[in-house]
Amino acid sequence: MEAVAALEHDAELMLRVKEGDEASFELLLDKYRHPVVSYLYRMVQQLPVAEELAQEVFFRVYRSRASYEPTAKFTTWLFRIATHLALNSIRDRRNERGQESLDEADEDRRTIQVADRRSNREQQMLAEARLEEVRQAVGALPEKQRAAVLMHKYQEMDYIQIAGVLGCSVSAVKSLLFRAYEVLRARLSHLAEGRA
Amino acid sequence: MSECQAVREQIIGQAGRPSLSAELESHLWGCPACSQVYLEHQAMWRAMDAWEAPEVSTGFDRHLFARIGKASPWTPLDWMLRWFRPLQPAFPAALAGVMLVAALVVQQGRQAPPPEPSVTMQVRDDARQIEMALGDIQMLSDFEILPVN
Repeated sequence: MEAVAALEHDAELMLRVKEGDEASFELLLDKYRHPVVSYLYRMVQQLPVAEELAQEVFFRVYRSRASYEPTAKFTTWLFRIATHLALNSIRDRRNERGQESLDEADEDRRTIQVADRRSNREQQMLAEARLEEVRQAVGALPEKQRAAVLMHKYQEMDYIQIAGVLGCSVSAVKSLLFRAYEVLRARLSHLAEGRA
Repeated sequence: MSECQAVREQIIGQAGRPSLSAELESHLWGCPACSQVYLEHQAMWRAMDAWEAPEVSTGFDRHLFARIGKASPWTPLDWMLRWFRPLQPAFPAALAGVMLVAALVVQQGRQAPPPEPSVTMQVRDDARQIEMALGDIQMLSDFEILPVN
């Protein structure tokens, strides 16, 4: 029921923005600024790029206020815009960087392995290396799998909402998540052993 | 779908949240393979939990509103949509009415009598009629029907 109430409230705010109420736009911005930037940051893994994309997301929300109709959850619409921009940005950067990025990634992985061996001496370095490994494992997922995992894990979206954002069926989302988590489990499950 | 496959989908659906259904817990107790998968997922999610997103820059809103300010706050289209919004339900009927009136006007225009001939034409016709009348009078007088002065 809370989710439904939240949906109605966000949609109501957006309808007020449509009527010209700028304060409602600021309320939506306050509520979703951090979730959108966090999501984009984990997608593109560069804060300046993530913030630039998030600016574009909110700008598009504002620009399209006149034609807004609450046909879907506001968050579904918001994250659909964010995902579209993130995927385009990733593809553009991949085209720009080409093979160079792959070489860099391999180099980074070797650095992490070295850092991991020193971990007994330097806890801070270990934590950073673990974090880097998580980043790389997530970053190595195909874009749609990555988006699905980030929405599922960090935004706590359900399958239906993720399907709405990605424009695919619920069963396709389940399949994306299953494959993605299998890869992540293989790459990351050893990281928590040291903590136990 | 096998029971283990269904259980693994449930583990994924749970996304590291602590609550376990009784059915899932019972399966994990009796299935070492799924139990191992469950523990590995827990470890993976703990590792992922450590990945926090940084704080948003303080200038974020300022940049956004500056950008919004540069763009026209309300475009003419926005205003038009706002003005016509209350009329939206009646709009199709109004449009149909306007088109019907336009069609009637066009139709009447087609059926209207041809335009009056110009003054020059009229004068020319009057002269011809007088000539014909004089001719007729002459013809009748030739037949002695009319007295000729």
